[in-house]
Amino acid sequence: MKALLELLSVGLVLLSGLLFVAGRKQNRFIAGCWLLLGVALVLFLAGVTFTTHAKVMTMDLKLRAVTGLLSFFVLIATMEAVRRTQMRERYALLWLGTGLVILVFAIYPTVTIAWLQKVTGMQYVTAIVVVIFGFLLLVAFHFSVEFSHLHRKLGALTRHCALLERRIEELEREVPSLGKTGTDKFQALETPNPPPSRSA
Amino acid sequence: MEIVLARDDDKRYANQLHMMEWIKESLLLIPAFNEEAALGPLLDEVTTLYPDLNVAVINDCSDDFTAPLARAHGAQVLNLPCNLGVGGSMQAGFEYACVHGYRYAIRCDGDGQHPPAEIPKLAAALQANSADVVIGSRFLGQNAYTSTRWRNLGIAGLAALLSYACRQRITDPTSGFQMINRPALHFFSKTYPADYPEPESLALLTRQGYRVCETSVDFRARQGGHSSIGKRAALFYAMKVTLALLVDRARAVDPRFNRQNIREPLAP
Repeated sequence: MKALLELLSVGLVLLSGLLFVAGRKQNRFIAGCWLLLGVALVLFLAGVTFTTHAKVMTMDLKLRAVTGLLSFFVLIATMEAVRRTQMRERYALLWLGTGLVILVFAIYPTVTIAWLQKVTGMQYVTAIVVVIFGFLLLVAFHFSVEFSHLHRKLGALTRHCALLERRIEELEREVPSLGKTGTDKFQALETPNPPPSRSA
Repeated sequence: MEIVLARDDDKRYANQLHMMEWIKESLLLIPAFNEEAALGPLLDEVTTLYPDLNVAVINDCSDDFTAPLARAHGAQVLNLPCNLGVGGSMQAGFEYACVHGYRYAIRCDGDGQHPPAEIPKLAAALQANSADVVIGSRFLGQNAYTSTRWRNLGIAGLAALLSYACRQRITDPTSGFQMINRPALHFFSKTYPADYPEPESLALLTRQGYRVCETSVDFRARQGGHSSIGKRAALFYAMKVTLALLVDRARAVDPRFNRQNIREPLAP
């Protein structure tokens, strides 16, 4: 298991390093991220070999590896989405915060866990889950607020559009030279025999 | 264009002959979503009753031929490019009426439930009580309107809550048959609740110092189309409106739209 992980991480470092050096310029950022991840993994695994004499990884270390990977995934995905302009910066901030907090939990487990246990009395796993859940809750709340804003703006735009369309219709009636264009044209298409309209 | 508020000139309505003068200065707003079936007869009825009344149909992105039908029956049509619900359509109508300088706006549903013949009753009540908003109520007076038991219960509960929020008795909180004057029109064109707007809008009005009153109106049966509120939606309606009524009390009053601050004539 550990040998496989070591192989994977070294391979990752080499591949992403190659991509970083030789790849196209716009891929440099994402390659750099993967390189960083590979280096971190290598260092982590090296740290494991130096600190524990046993050949198997303890559950604590596995957990740290998983959370570290998770945070890396969140951070890289967010940065990449921002880079591709799929996500605006203001939404990215919360996601980056989530990733960073999980990363801190993975790197300094003893400090953070001691603090969390003192405050809440939770175990490591529970604490991680609660932190992730809390941030997801924040993100969802943020979305609800933004949806409501967007809904209001959409309503205002829609109403304005409707009023403008009506205004165009009125102006077309005012200017006879325009003849059958715009809304009148649509009207002519929609109704075979429109009676003369009143007071419009 | 100078606009004098209704409560400021008493002589205006003294003469019966001039009773219908307000009709030229009002706009009848009909929000319509897939109302093909009932809208035509309704518009014809309005035209025969009040030839001078301007009618605007707000087509809330219907799938059927509501818009051309309304145009063919002589109404002005506001086409919303995407579906906003009753609240959004009504606000579009209020904005339109406000921009065009109408003194009164009458709101009437497109399904034919609200009889256009009762509109003068609303106007008379508006004048008699010097109110800003008049609601046509199904439950006031002799005409005992009955619906299903649960719906009646919901309406009664809502009426109690709204009466408390408005500090006055409101018998029909869900009625969409209303007549409003220019200050309220101005307020509504800026602020109007999004979905299921009727109860909340009344609470907002009274909170801003507008005068609301009711008058009894005989509603007809739905002439066609389907109700926008089904069984499940009715529960959502009740919860949404209750929440809105409670939260609105906790909001600050906007002094710009306070009734006392809209004394001066409003420029269209």
